[in-house]
Amino acid sequence: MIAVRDLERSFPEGSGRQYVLRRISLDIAQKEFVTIMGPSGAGKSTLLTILGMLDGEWSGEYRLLEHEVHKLKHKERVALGKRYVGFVFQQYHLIDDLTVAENLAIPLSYRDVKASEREAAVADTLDRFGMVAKKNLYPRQLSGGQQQLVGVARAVIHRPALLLADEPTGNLHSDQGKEIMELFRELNAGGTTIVQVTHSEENAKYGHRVIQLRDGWIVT
Amino acid sequence: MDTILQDLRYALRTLRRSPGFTTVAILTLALGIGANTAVFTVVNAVLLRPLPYREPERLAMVWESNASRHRDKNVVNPQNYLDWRERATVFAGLSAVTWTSITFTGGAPELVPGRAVTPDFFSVMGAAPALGRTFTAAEALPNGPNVIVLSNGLWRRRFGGDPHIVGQAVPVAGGSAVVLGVMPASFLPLAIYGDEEYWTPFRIDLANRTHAGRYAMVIGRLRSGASLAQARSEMERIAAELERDYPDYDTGWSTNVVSLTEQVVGPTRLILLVLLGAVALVLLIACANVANLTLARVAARARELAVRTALGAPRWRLIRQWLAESVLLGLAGGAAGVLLAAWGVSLLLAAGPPDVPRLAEVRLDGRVLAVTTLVSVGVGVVFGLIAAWGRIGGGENSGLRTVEAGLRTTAGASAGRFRGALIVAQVSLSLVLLAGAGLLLRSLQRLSSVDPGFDPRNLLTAAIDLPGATYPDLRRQSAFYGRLLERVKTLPGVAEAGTVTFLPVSGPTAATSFTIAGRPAPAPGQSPVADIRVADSGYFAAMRIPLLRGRLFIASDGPNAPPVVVINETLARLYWPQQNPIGHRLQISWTNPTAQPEIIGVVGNVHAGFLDADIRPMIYYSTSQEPAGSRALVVRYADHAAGLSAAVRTAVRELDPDLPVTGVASMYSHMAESMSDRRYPLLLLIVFAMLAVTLSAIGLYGVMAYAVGQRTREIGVRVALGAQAQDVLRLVGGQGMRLVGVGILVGVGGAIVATRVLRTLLYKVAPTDPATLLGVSVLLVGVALIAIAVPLRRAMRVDPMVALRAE
Repeated sequence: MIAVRDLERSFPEGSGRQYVLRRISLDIAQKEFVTIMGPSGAGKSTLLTILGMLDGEWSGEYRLLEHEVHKLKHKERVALGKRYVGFVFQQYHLIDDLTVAENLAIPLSYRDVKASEREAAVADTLDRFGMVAKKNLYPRQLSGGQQQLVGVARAVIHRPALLLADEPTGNLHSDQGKEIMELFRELNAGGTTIVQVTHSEENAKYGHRVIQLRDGWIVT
Repeated sequence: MDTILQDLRYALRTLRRSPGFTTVAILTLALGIGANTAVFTVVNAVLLRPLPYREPERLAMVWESNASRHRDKNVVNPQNYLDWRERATVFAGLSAVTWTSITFTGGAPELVPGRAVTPDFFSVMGAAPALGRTFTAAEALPNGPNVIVLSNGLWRRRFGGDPHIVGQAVPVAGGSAVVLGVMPASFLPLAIYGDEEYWTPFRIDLANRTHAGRYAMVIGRLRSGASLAQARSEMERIAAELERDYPDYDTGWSTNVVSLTEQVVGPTRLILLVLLGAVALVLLIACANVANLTLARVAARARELAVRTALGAPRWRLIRQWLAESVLLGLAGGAAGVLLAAWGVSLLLAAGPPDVPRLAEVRLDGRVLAVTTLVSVGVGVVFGLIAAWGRIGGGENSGLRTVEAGLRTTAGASAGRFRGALIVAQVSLSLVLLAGAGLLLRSLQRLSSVDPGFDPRNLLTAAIDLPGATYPDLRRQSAFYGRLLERVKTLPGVAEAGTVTFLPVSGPTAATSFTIAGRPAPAPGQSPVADIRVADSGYFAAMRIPLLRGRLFIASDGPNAPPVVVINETLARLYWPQQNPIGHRLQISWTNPTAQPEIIGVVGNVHAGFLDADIRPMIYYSTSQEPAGSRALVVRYADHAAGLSAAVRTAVRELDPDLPVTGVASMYSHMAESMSDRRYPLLLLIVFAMLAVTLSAIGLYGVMAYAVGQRTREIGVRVALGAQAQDVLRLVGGQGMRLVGVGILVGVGGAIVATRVLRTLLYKVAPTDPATLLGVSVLLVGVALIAIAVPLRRAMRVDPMVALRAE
């Protein structure tokens, strides 16, 4: 599903450049559940943003399904990201002033899904994630685990082929974290390709394999 | 569509959840939009709305003009008017109008200003009476019946809207006048150079074509399709013909045709446009304030924007979301502004605008509301775009990276610079407004310090207009005023009293040409011109106008004695330089052009028309020799003369209970009235400048408070490393005052350019007056210091331990 070759990402620093990712090459198959690990500053989140089309300032080659991302223009990359990718964040990043149902509707709204279809999809997702009773609550009225549950539901409501998760349980206690990881396993079993960044060995065990990053290089 | 509604719903909810921001933003916008709406309401009524007459674009005033006398809109000689009417083809109708007044009796006597008009006046104006009819040509002949047409306002006020008034003879001083008709409320009196509340026939003797005096206005209706340029060309041709036909009278005289709209609104256009410009600057400053608030808010909501981007929001959707909020804010500010404007309009009118026409038509109408809505939406779009420009347009890298960066540096350097630029703009715009107000203030100060030629302290003035019907001649007028002065002089505290036909500083009044007996007659049209007053000796004494040579009028200068005049110093200097004019005689085109009054005295100069105008030659006739029914009474009193006004009124009432006394006021208030054309824009400019400075100060406070909040950790570190209070003061205060300094520099440049439009309103002050610019700059620095004091105090009290722990 994903094929990356010699991918590099750098930032200008003084008269030279500081490299965050160096000659990254990797392949991720469809329905795979991959974990990226490494110390802070290794380039894990940067790799995730590139895979998710949020960062276009890199060099190298990147293929997603049949699309050669490195040849696409900015707009086309954004469109590709909207079509195939869902994000889960460590800080949940729900919109404070929107209810649970409205937070779920956002990605569909940005994909120009008709109102009736949007409502149906939100109702279906609320039901699937067991949050029907909480649909009119605001994020501040939910526990951390519940917020991340909404975050995951929001990430998958438009049925992305690829789910990218950056430290999805970093702010949760272990029981809640476990619940989220079980959910990931379920989604993966349902056919969603998942790439997660984590420091947790426990969470890594839910995936099929681990990619280790250090100082921008893949070390395994 | 449903996503737009979703954006609006979300915007409403977000604004409700930030009541502080929302309230401050709406109030700020309301002040800016309200001030603009109020001034635009007046501009709309006065300048933009067509005059309320049928096809007003076809109406034009025709004045006489005289280049050598610098008169471009001189009143018209009625005989010239008759010639114009006979010869002009470009007008469908041409009517003459002159000033008159009637004292209505049969109740409290009331002196009411009106106009004597030729019978075709109403057809020229395209108006028909609501009740009755207007005059016939026969009724306008000399010795015709005493008939009157009432304005709707006078009919309601004085006659209680009596529906049977037509045909009634209403009591007026010396007899009665038959009411022929009542004009509809929609027919607004022209009120050019004074109010008018009724119309009587202008009786021009068609048989006697001798030219005597210029004292009429002429208004015409152009033929359909005729242009103003055609009218000008034809009237100039006719004026040239008259110059040939009547060289003694018309040499040097031409015509000046101006559209009625220009005539009515032209003189106030500059003041209104200056005020509109001033409130536009206030709105810009308010916009800058809300923009600053918006920027801080965008920074605070960067996480949300980044999440939305990461979830697939196209940039235009983020911009639309933000626009929804800002346009809602703009509309709410506009709605509140309209409420403020309704109040502001009454304030504008209550502040007594000088001679601004059409104020009765001022109201918030559909056009004003449409413009306010447009401005409100426009203002909202500007904020939304500022936000979009400042934060949303961050490109594809702004999303997750910003989110995951912990959002500690949302106020980037560019946003900080932008906020600083807004403060610079606010300060500079405030300085422009302050400079405008300062220049007008200095003009008024200089004007107030002009020596008027008399002593205005402890002087009471009053106006009395003896009706021609009861006081038709010199004998009866002299008898009345003689007895009145006797009584007034015996009132407690009164030192001197006298009368004159026009008080000083009363604008353009009576003037005529004259020649000096015994000298070669000037070529036609080259005769010198002097202002004319009819006064008694008590007038000079009461006013403390010094006698420089000769003598004043004495009792023996009676009606049958040889005619005498007193002249002013300017006339003496111009025509008898280094010589004594006493004993010389003048031939004056006044009531008796053949008489040659002898000059018996020279008095000091007095500013007769305006304080800021050059002093012109002046000839004083004696009230004992020239009829003058309408006079101003001047009374000099001791320091404490309580109840003098009432005593003067009583003295007049005891002599003639049907005689109204008007204009009872101190000489100072009469002089202040003459400066109202400067005082009104000054007052409003001061209000708007203060509003601008306050908004700018709030903006500066906001930016400084935000900056201190952002730099708390840095300040904590500096203090921990040994920085003293004064170092923090320099660091933080320097940042604010640098912005103010740049703003002042930019503002001074702007003021030098912008205040040029005030040039005609200034008196002995250049638009670039350094003292004014320095003064307003110092004032702004003072206000800025107050504005940054609180954030500065907070910065100086930063506890390094607390600041560093918070990090």
